[in-house]
Amino acid sequence: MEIKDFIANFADQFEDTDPEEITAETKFHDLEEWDSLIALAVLNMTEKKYGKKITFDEMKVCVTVENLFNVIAAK
Amino acid sequence: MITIDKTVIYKAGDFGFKNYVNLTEEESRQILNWRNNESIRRNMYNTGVIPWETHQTFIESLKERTDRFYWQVYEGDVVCGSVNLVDVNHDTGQAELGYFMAPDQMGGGKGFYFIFSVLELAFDVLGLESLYGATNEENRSATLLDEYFGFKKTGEKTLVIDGKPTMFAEHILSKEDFEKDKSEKLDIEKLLLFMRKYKKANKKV
Repeated sequence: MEIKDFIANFADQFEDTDPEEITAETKFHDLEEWDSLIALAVLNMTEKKYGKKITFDEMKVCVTVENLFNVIAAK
Repeated sequence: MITIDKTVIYKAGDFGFKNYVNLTEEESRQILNWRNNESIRRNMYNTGVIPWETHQTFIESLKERTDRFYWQVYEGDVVCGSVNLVDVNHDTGQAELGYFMAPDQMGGGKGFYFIFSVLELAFDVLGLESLYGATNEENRSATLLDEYFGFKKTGEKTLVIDGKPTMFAEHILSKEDFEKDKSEKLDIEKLLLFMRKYKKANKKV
């Protein structure tokens, strides 16, 4: 599981957000398009692409995309 | 004929529904604090801050009323929001639906299951025939989910909120439309496909 691929897959869940805007340091909860449904899409993506399941609460406490990657990678 | 018992804790999916009239003071204050949170009240008809005394009087009035019901919604040990049915017509089974999630429960994807269980409560548990409501059109997640669950738009109304004209979409959902392909509605892949199409069709310019 590479962070570069994860960022690309993460960015792919958005429709209106420029993928260039999303980096490892991005505070994803602050993105204008971030909402409950994008969160659901990200959870679905981590399960489908990486076979790893995380909870809403685990995702909620992550601040940056890299934090989220680390939580998933540690599963 | 619809019968709703305020003393019953209703269950739908993984969620429980406890009537406001049975809440402890601490639970009532928690609900009011959430309702007064800016992120919640900006989507309400009345966006003002409600004082505790007014809330207490309101809860007291609910004890006698048979046309409006408010519940605290919880999942396991976590209280996650509030749902209400107002102008309940016990003969036709029609009511206006309102709900909000706790601010700390938003943005985690739980809203989808929360709303589904609210609809199950209304149609499958309480036996209502149709629900109507209005959603602030700027609340894109809510309008998307309304459409996904089968609400049909019946009109629009403009309300002046914080001195600014705000458009609300009016919609209605029948029990028949909700029950149609109900199990498929919980399919996340189906929801995500719908979300992509919806966002493309409603892309911001």
